[in-house]
Amino acid sequence: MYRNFEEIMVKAKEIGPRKVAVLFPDDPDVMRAARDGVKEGLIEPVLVGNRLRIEAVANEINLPLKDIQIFDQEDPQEAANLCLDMVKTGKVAFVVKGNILTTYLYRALIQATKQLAPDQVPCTLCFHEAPDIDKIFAITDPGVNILPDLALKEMILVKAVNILHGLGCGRPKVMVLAAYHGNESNPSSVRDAVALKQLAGEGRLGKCEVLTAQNLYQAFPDRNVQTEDLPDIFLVPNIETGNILVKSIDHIVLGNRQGMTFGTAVLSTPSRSDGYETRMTNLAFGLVLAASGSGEMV
Amino acid sequence: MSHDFEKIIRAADQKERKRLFISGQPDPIAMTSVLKARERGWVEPIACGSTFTGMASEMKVLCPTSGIREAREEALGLAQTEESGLLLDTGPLDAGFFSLVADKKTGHNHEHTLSYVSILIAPKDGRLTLLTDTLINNQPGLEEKIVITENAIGMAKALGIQRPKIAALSALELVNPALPSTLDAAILSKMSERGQFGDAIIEGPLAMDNAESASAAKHKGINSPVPGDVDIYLFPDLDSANLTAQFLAWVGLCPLGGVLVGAKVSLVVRSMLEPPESWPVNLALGLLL
Repeated sequence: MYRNFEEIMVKAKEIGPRKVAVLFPDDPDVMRAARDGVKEGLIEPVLVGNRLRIEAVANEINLPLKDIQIFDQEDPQEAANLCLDMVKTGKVAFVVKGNILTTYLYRALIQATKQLAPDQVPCTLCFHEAPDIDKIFAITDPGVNILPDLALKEMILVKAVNILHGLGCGRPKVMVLAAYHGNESNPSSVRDAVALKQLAGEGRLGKCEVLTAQNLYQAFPDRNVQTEDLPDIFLVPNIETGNILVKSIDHIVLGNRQGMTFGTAVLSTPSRSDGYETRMTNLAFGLVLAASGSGEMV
Repeated sequence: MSHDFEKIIRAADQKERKRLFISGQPDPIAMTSVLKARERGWVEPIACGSTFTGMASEMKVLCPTSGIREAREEALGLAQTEESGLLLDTGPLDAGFFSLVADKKTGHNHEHTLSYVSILIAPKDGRLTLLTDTLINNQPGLEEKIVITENAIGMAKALGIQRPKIAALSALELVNPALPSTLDAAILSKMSERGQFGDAIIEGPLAMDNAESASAAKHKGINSPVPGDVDIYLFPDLDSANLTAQFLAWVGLCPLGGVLVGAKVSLVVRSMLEPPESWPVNLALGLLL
């Protein structure tokens, strides 16, 4: 398993450059990441969006467009669908979300996944590095599935375990998260955790270990978290928990976060508020994950 | 004692001494903290129940033969008869404890909703930040969220935050009927606009990134004084609140304090979210409330 984002970047530079679709790059931070992604040998961008706006922003950051392919498509849904088509036909390795609502990309991905791999569910994984933790860990699903039931949780975990394998984590430790409190426990999340542990035992999630502990308190009662014992995958019970948790890790804990969405394609899905550094690392994650086959059918 | 919570400790020093009734299981660290609190002039401690007999020789023990439940009832009853009574329970915070403090028949907590407020020193800027409800209400509806919010505002004001700014969190900043927590957040936000929470500003729904950063909120077209200046994070449910607080404490190594709010008397406890070293700050929070 990669220990930090730096190692991902090193690996990405070995893999690149690859053709990558940048959806709605009409934002200076997005365009700068595309420009510097070229400079660093990571990507050959294919820009999708309104040509005039793309040209205006490119001009603003001094990016000459003469060698860069542009698909002039103003409609956000059409543009997102076009990007997915390009992944499907192998024209690009993955898609980077620019200045656009994630919903359009999700819709295109859900559609494509339904057609090509109906047994799969698109889901988001956030990869994190945190101070004093010497490995990357993932939290899923903070982006697509609102309140997954057991069947959806199984599909999410199959995908997540497979992705972690692709990143060199041979037998990821999985924690099925549920709150701990003295008052009453939430029976459904406890029940799902037991069922998922059973499924893992039957080998239905791929090679992994589902932990009995459902939160950090149960796993580390002495509050001393060792890197090797920290789960590699945290499965959250609902989208609110996932989304608040992943953003707390970079905004409050002062760690870092990379959001990627998987289905039949790899989508780099940063928050629109993410800055330049995050977007550069995003390109690296996209390359490494696409090269490891994470966007392919499991 | 964590240096970070110094401000809270100093504020407690300014308070009048109160009688502190103690119940629960034997807990040496808690008792040491109680004795220190007595030295600082915060409290006059009185223990209840057989568990405390012989544990702290310098402390008065009432009902020395009774079991934990009877002793808890006794301590709670005594704390309530005081003008500004204070109860400290050393745990366990199990169903027995909560059924006692929330028992409508005994009137211990008549018509109130109990909630838990975690206190955090934000690593980035050292700001005192409140998170709620991190322990009690599993899936609060709008009615519970109103009380949870009022409880947290009460705590914030007791900490000297005159006009608390509150972020009603969800997974996104847009109101989406498929995600009921965005509706609750929007309603709370509107209620605060109409002055229904007094001198406090609630903004919601907000995702954590645009709650935490003014520029991120601006990037998404949110015009509000709350983003980047949040005193209280109101979480949509217990899973999100409790698990986020755990990550902050276990992975982020943020010191946490905590306080049970909404009961008739101030209840000092230590939840699983806080380390034993948090007893002094938890005591101070109970004293300030």
